[in-house]
Amino acid sequence: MIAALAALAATVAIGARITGELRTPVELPQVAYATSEQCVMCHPGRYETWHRTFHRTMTQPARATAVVGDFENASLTYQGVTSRFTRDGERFFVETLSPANTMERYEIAMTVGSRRIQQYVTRVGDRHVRLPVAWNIEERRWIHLNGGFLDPDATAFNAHRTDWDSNCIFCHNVKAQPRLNRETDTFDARVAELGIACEACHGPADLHIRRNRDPLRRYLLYLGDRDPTIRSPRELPRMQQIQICGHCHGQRLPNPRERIAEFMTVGDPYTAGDDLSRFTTPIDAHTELAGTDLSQRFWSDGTPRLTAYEYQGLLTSEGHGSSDLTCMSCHDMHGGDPRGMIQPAMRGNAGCVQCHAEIGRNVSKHTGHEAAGSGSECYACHMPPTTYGLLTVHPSHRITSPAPARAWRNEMPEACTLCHTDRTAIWAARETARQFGTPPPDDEPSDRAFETAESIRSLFGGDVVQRAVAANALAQARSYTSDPTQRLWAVPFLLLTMEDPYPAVRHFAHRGLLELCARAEVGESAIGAAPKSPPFDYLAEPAARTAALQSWWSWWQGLDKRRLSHPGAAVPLDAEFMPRRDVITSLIARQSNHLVSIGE
Amino acid sequence: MSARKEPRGESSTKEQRPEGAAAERLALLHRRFGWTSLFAWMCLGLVLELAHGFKLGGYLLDPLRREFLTLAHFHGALLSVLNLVYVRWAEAPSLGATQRLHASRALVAGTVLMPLGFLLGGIQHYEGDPGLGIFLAPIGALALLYCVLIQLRAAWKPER
Repeated sequence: MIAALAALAATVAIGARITGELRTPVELPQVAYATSEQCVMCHPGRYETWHRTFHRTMTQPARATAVVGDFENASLTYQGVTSRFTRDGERFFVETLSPANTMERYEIAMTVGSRRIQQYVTRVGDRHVRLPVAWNIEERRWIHLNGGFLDPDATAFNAHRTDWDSNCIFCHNVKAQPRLNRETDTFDARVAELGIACEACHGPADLHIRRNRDPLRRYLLYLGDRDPTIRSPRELPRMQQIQICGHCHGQRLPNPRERIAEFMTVGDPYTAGDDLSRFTTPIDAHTELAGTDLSQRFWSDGTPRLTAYEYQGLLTSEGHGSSDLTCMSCHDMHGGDPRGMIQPAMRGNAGCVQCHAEIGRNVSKHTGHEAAGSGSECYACHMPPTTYGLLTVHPSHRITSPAPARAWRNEMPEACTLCHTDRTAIWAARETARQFGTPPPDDEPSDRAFETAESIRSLFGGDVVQRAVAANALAQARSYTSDPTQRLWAVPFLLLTMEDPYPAVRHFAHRGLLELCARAEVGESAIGAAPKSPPFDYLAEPAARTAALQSWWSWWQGLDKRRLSHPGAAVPLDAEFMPRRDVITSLIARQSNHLVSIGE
Repeated sequence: MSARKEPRGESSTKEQRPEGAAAERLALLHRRFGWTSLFAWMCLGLVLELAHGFKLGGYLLDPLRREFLTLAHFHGALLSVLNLVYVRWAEAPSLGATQRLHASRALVAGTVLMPLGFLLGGIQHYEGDPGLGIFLAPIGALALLYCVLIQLRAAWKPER
């Protein structure tokens, strides 16, 4: 009895001590990091759902389990340089052009990226160097980064060879510390953990782990106490929640700029849950940075047009200041499909109608389109695919209402004509005004280029991002017509675009062409078989590309087009379904060739 | 106070060995309790087999629940058998009546609390820890330890 009472008294005393400790705030930035391997013991489910994400594999040591590229004596020839990819057991090597214009053999130390493109990092002296050749995971082929980023053909071979220690390290790992010695100009880079692991979002966990070895403490937390030793994003104020994602999904500069020295020597001062604006300022269209035209990363109305600016997109969304919307309203780091990480329950319109329930009850009244059709998909109009990143066009994260006049006011893609690819922006503006009972814009352009379907005008007259977005739109599944054969009118325009001076634009055009043909079952029907050889390679030398294109043109010219309908006067096609060269030439003459620097 | 009529011949034996009657009552208790408990925990075992047979995700896909329900079944069955075996030692001559009673009560308490703690801790649990019911398990373990200590001491004592 005495022993039992003593045990009870001891338990109560320990409980009181823990309760006091739980109420004492913790200076989390002072706490050490632990790594995800420590978290799994108490959070096996959370660990498992994180483990299958592309966040985990963002940066990995170059082990056989991490390297997905073909290193079995594969090669890639680009700009006359043949890079070779080999392995020796568990060691992986890339032989490619060095900055000294000699061929060098580099051993791979780390991989960066695991969903779309896997990049390779070697060690040169004290530095980790990202090589300019990479493996395209989705297409299972080697590429040159000039073709993955938005660079024209003439871009230097090593333009994207860059230091990992002062660049990639910040967003692709937990708690980056480049540890630059400014006197010797050397790095001794460290990270708390490679890849985006638990502590990137929850803050440093060493103290949390040590204190929670006490089971009584854990059970007090289960009974409702809050743990001051760890950050739970969902319990943070709204902006701090968004900033956890914005820390990487929102390109930024140190605040103030001079703080860059601290970033490079000590490391990134931000800890999950902090107010990010204390340390950095998000880049916007007006940000000035010597040597880089940052305005090119945004459409001229300020909408981000590259990925890794989703934070800026959300901050500039309509109603941002008055809503409860956070990244986690739609995304879940521990659930759903790792691609996009959308919560399963938030797919489709569900994500939007959780707040806009009234619209959800009668969506066709709001959209003017059939309720079950793609025209009633919220994302199609309010988050249209206008953002470029890694050979993909993504939905904009600046949530806006469709305004076709943006096409001529801001020289940017707009939602209506990304689906109605055969129509002009002026048509879209008038139609929108008619449907919603608003006055049409009073600044309709007199420029004859706007008499051309907006997709075609942008495809030939736009800058590189407009062209990529337009090429993507011409083939995207969400379209004004569900008849895939009728969409083949876009084929000759895509064939012309396959001559674009930017490899990335050629890539979109070629991929779109294949998708259109596949959907129309070109190889299966009376339409005829599309040419399979010679294969078109958007990174190949001009002569090889021309040979493949000639084969495609011959097929198109010989195709029986009686089943196709002319898409209308706004699409510059002649009676033979060949592009009207005069219109195309005048559009191309308007192209802006500003270089777009992707800060990755 | 007892109105129960003693069977012929037992009364004189009891008078001679009152501890013997108490031990017999304990043995009876452990026999009844042991078989009942064994039946209950074997039924749980059958439920677990059915969960395997019918591929019940709530059991098979939840490693922590699976582990704790298995522990409950194992400990429940084992401790039930221990109660049946304990009948043999319930009359340990080197134990006094009070000690015998304490050991018996501790064994019964442990047999109930420990597997029940595993069972409740497994049915409702947190991500990395069993549910609050698990606190019954260490209490049951202490009770069992107490019982074992009494019996251990008696085993090393010279017989009276």
